[in-house]
Formats: sequence, C-alpha cells, structure tokens
Amino acid sequence: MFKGIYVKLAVSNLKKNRKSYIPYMITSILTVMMFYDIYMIAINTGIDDMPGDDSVRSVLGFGTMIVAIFACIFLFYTNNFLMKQRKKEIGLYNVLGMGKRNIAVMMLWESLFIGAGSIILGVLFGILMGKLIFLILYRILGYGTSFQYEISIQGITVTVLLFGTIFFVTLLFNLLQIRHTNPIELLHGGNVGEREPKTKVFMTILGLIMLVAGYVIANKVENPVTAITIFFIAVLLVVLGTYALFVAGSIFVLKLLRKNKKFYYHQRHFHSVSGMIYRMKQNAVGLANICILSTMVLVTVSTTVSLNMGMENIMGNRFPKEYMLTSYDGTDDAIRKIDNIVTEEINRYGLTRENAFRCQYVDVTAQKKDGKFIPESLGASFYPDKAIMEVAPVSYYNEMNGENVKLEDGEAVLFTVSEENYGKEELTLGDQTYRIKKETDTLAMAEKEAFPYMDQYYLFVKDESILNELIKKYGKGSTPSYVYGFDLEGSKENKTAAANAIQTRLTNESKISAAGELRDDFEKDFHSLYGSFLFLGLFLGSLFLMATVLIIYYKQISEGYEDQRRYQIMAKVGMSKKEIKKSINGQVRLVFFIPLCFAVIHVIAAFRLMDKILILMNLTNTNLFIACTAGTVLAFAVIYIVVFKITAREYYKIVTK
Amino acid sequence: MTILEVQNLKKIYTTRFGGNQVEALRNVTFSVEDGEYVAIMGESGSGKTTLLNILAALDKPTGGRIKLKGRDLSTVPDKEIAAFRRQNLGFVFQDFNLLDTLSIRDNIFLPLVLAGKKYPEMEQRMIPIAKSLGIYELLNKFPYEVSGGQKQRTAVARALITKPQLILADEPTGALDSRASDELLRQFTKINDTGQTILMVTHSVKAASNANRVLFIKDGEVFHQIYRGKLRNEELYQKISDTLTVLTTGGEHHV
Repeated sequence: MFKGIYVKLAVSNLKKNRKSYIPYMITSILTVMMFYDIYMIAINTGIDDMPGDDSVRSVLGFGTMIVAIFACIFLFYTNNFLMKQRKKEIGLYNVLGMGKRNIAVMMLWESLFIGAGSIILGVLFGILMGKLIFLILYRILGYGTSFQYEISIQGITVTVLLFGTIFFVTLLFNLLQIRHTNPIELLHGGNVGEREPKTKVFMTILGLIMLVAGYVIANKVENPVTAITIFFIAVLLVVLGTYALFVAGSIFVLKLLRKNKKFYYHQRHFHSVSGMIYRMKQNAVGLANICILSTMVLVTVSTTVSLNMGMENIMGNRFPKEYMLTSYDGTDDAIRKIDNIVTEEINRYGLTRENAFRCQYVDVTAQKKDGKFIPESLGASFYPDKAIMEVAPVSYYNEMNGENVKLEDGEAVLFTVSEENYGKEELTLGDQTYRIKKETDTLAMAEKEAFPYMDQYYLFVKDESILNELIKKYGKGSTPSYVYGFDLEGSKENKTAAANAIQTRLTNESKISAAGELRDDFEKDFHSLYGSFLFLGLFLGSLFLMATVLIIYYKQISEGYEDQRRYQIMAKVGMSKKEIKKSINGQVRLVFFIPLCFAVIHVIAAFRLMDKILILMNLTNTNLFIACTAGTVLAFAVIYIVVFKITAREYYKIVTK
Repeated sequence: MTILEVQNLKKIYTTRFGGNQVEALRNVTFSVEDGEYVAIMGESGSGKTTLLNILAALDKPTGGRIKLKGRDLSTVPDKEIAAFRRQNLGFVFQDFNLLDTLSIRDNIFLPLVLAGKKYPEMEQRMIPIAKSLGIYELLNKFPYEVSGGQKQRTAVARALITKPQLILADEPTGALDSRASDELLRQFTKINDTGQTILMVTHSVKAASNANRVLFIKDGEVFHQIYRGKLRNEELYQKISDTLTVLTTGGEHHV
C-alpha cells in the first residue's frame, strides 16, 4: 500500500512534466533503436558474403562506437536539462515533508519507467526498423541479393546492458545532486542565475584565436597525408574556440551593443539585447552544442555523399588503367615471360589491349637535402617529407611516349608528378649527378597531380645497368620491378577470366610474384567500402540531426517558461501583441540561426581540408564535392527552419499564455 | 475637469462551456476629476482587480462605459489599445513588475523605448523624476541589487515618465515593509501635489488614508465613499476603519 504511492507519484510526475518527458522518451527510444540497429548490422553474419566485408565491418564497428559514446553524452545532457527544470518541484516535495530517501524512491520509479520503457520500445522499434535499415544498406552498397535478417540476441543483450547502465548512472547523478542541496535551494532552483553575466575579455580573445588558428591550419595544409593529422588538431581548436566564443564572445558583443545608446534604445533591439545577455549565460553551451552537431551532420553527410557520387572519378584515379600488373621481379627474363603470358591469355579470350604501357624501374626513397636527393632505401614507402624517385631505362620512355631519345651516361629525362616542374638543369641522386636532357610534361604511366601524396619523380636513364648499380648500392639482392598496364576491349566475363588465367599462370607456371588488378574486380570492393561510409554518414547524420532538433525544442520550451513573466510585464506596460510577437521572433531567430551560421562558416573553413582528405581517398573532383556540400547545407537549412518554425510557435504559445 | 468617467460598469465571467456565470462587477459608476487622488477599497473578491484591469484596458467590460478624458475606451481599436495604454496610463503594481534583465535606468525607459523616443529625450525626462524619487544614485544597478522600496519607486518612475493622464496603482504597498510603505505614500502625495491624477486600489487603511477620496466596493458595486474634506490623515484613517467595520458586518447602501 505504502509502496503504491511512490509508483502513483512517479506516474503522475511524468504525466505532469510530459512536455519535457515525451521528447526525452522519444530521444531515448530513437537512440536505443539506432544503437541496436547499427550494432545488429555490424555483427550480422550476412556481411561476410559481401565483397570488401572486412572494411564494411570495421566502418560499421567504428559507427557503433560513435553511437554509443554519443548516446552517453547526449542522454546525460538531456537528463541534466530536465533536472534543472524539476528542481523546484522536488524542493516542494521536500518542504511538504518527503524525506530525501522518499524522494529517491520516487525518482527510482520514475527512472525505471523511463529507462525500461525506452529500452523496451527502442529495441522493439529497432527490430522493426532493422529490416528497413538493412535494405537501405544493401541498396547503397549496390546489392539486391537476398540476405539473412535475424533478430540478434547478442544485439539486444548489449543494447539493454549499455542503456541500462546509462540510465542507472544518470539516476545516481540526480540523486547525488539532490542529496547535496537543501530544500530552499531546490525551491529556488529555477530562479538561480539572475545575476548579470560578467564580460570575459580574455576568454573571448582566446576563443577567437583558437577559432582563427583552427581555420588557418585547416587552410594551410598542402599535403593530403598530413591532412588527417591536422584535421584532428583543427577540429579540436575549432570546437574549443566555438565553445569559448559562444560562452564569452556572445556576451562581450552584446554588452558592446548595449553601450551603443542609439542602437540599444530602439524598440526592436532594447528587449532583445538585454534579454539575450541573460539568455546566453544559460544557453551558450547548448547553442555551441547545436553548432558543433550541425557541423558534424554537414561534414559527414556531404563527404560521404560525395564519395558515392564520385565513384567513377575514384575508380579512374585509383586504377588509371583497366588492368594493371605489378611484378616485383622485373628482370629481363621475367619481363619476357610476363609479356608472353599476358599476350597469350588476352588473345585466347578474344580481348584487345588499348593504351598500353610497360616499364621496368627501381623505386628509391630519398631524402631531399640542399637540393640533392640522398637515397635511403629501395622500395616506395610513404613519408610525407621524403621523395620517391622511380628510375627506369629510357627505352621504356621512348616506347611509352613514342619518341626516340638517346641518352649518354650522366644524362636523364625527368617527369615530376607535382604540377610544378623541377625546372633545374641538373639532378643529383646519391653520388651521381644527371644532366636533365629533357623534362617531359606527359607520361603514359603517370599523371600530374595538383596535390600529390609526396614528392615523386620519374627519372629515365641510359639503360638497365644504372638500375643494377642502384640495387647494388642500396638494396642488395633485389631486382627491378615491372609494371604493365592497359585498357581492355571485350566482354566483362572474358576480362575476368583472362585476368584470373594470367594470375594463375604467373604464379604456378613461371613462379613470378606479380599481382594483376582488374578494375572491375575492385569496383565492388570500393562500392562496399564507400557505400558503408555513406550508410554510416547518413545514419550518424540522422542521429545528430535528431539531437539538434531535440536540443532546440528543449531550449524553446524552457526559455518560454522563463520569458513568460517578462512578456506579461511588457504587455502591462504597454506592448501590443503584435510587438511582442515581433520581439519574440527577432530574438528566437537570432538565437537559433547563430549556430547554423557558425556551422556553415565551419564547413566553409573546413572545405579545403576535407577536399584534401577526399583526394587521399582518390576523389579529386572538387566541383562534385562543392555541389554535394552545397546540397547538404541547403537540405539541412530547410529541416532546421522547419524545426525552428514549429518550436517558435510552441514558444509563442507558452509565452503569451 | 473630469478625467475618468465610469458608468454602469458590468463584468460577467462565464466559465468555458457557458455553465456558471460569475458577476464580478454589477453596476459601478463613479468619476475622477483632474488632479484627484482616489483610493478604492474592498475585500478580496469584491471586484477591485477586475475593475482595475478594465480601467487599464487589459480586460473588456460586459456592459457600461468608460471614458478617459472624454474618449470612450470601447472606441479605441484593438490595434491601438497598447499604444493608448502606453500614452495615457501609468501603472504601479504590487509585485513591482520590473524586468530583471534591465538596469533601473532601462526599466524606467521601457515605456519610452516602446514608444520609439530618442535616447537624449528619455534621459532628459528621467533625471528629474529619478532625483525626486530618490533613486538617481541607483540608476546603473539591477533590480536584484536594490530593496523592495527602491524597486517600487523605480516602478513609480516608470509610470510617471510617460506623463500619463492617470496613474493606476494596484496595491502599491502590498509587498513593502511599513517604512518603505510610508515613504512610497509620501511620494504619492508629493506626485499628486504636482497635479498628477492617481487612482489606487488597496485594502490597506493606511494607504487609503493618504488619498483625497475613498471609494468602497462590495459585491461588485460602489457601496460608499468618503471625501477627505479638511480631515487630517489620522482622522481619515479612523473614518475609513469605521466604514470598513460597517461594511464587513453588513449595512445599507449609502450611494
């Protein structure tokens, strides 16, 4: 009987606060649902049958982690928000004679209802939506094949455990908070923070510096390889800068505006500016959250969409020729065998070669010092600050470019991958200085790039003997490498069959360690990989969007209650309904479009960096990226405005009650 | 000259589904002359607040007529009602109704800013008012930093700054301690001496004894009125007390 009263109280509390609790429950349910779904997909055995299953799995695994971390932070944040609103109510219970122990029991029931309800409904929806999400994933990946959709027991267990823990920890946190405050403080809980916020000049400047620094490094980056490292530094700086500017900068600017008497004492600005100073004190962090989340939505969605729409461009870059054979054994004997096998098999399957090139070469990784190249090792390895020198006999150059260049000892033909030519008369590699007889702008086996991974040169020398000398000096026991690439004309099946036959004969018959890559074979893998990226991008994008919407909603509601009294006073002093509506619209618009504006600025600032990272993933079509980003921003802005309109109406209703 | 004329004012509240009808004002008739200081007294539920709300154009009467300086309030279009209120009426409330986000200065400026006045003019108008109310030193402070009496004087300054035809005060001493009350009432008398018309609703006998005329409302009608005449505050106080005793123990209409 006595226990029953707690349950009753808990239920009636939830009902009374439904304006806050319904959105909270919806968020919890959706978060549980999304976690279950992505986890269920990540552990589904069906993925094993997909091409590129490993990369898909690791992308989805990464996504699961992000959703889990996000769920913790976000549910905690919203819970805090709710507690702040309910402090007064809880204080009242305390004053009316409920001990803190009784309150704790009551809150335990509340949490139980909310938590259990969210988890059960979330998993339920997760199971229902799972099938749809599965279909979407397969559709994006480009496979219409049937798959095994199963209700994952492991998925349910992990979801229940994770969210059970989150709800439990938030409850503990709430109880701790109540334990450490006295009833009077609880009663006044809603009214704290009336003091005018101080201007924090130092923090404003610091925020500005961090933001600008983040922007500058993001735009200074030249090398795509370093782009990823720099990306994280820039993101960190921009995130910190955003928080500092929202917290301190906003108040700084508003106080400046207040000092401007002509601007401030104006019908339209007076209440907005003074109200905003207080509003920013409580909401700066929330607004910064909205801003960061929006930026995340924009960046993830625009890049992943670009990657998928630019698949052709990516394939063209990653596989310049339809068929590419690379052999680590590039002795003349091996080359003869390879060429024979390739020709025989291509003829057997009735295919024709086009745009073929072949080259025997040695890769030298070299350190650039005083304009000289000091070889360090043979074989190409990626160091952003080093250079790769591909040394090859000039006969292959002549074959590729259809020329007839004759070289003496100490002479060379040069091709640089970077758009900027080498330009000098001489090039020193180790102890040998070559006179550059010709610097060519085109080469069949390579293309000039605006932003190459690293410094890369093709150096064509007199003959093979120079290659052997390099091997003797820097890589004893190895041989030159050999690359053979061409496009193929013929049916898809025959291409695959020929490629397989070539591979088998090279390994079994000639014992040559060579790898042939047929573009078609890899296209599926790339589709899987980038498709799972897109899936994850959309998945996380919708999660972040949901969070943004919810934060906006909560802000409007809570601010509505706070502003209610203010607007009543204004009405009494002689402000008409129309003027009130105008003032509300102005203020609310300002508050909600500042984060959007900053998010768009962040995206613009990050654009170059993101473009570089996409280059690293073989997408070089910047125009496509621009279009995708613009499209994403536009779509996002539309959703944002719709949410804004709906919540602004809700806010107006509360304020004018 | 008559500033305010109230004729046969009637207000009936109807519950949402038209079930019960509550008669808040039955038949109220009185008028206020230019420069008068009138107090309206009555118990809780006698219709004081309803009357004040209607006078303030915050609520509409069910019947009867109000004329402010000869203009019928019902002829003021809805669109202009807020501006009308701003230009002609000044308000002082029991709970001050200051905006906590504005400094004392800005709170006083509020109606002028809403009216679109320029800053130099606002400053010029405000200074003498603030000085005479003794809040000049507090102008840059915020409401949470000053006492209740100071808050109420700020509210008075805000009411005065628009040079209204009529000041409507709703229990102005209700939230103040006795010293702050006395001080505020002294200010009211001072303001009235400059020719400002004041209409005050109160159930403090002390507050009412400062007025020139006291109206008593009971059950939605004006029940009785007392003129100060030559009486001192103390004498008026006694007379009001006596009237209230009669009022609460029953009695006949005297108007």
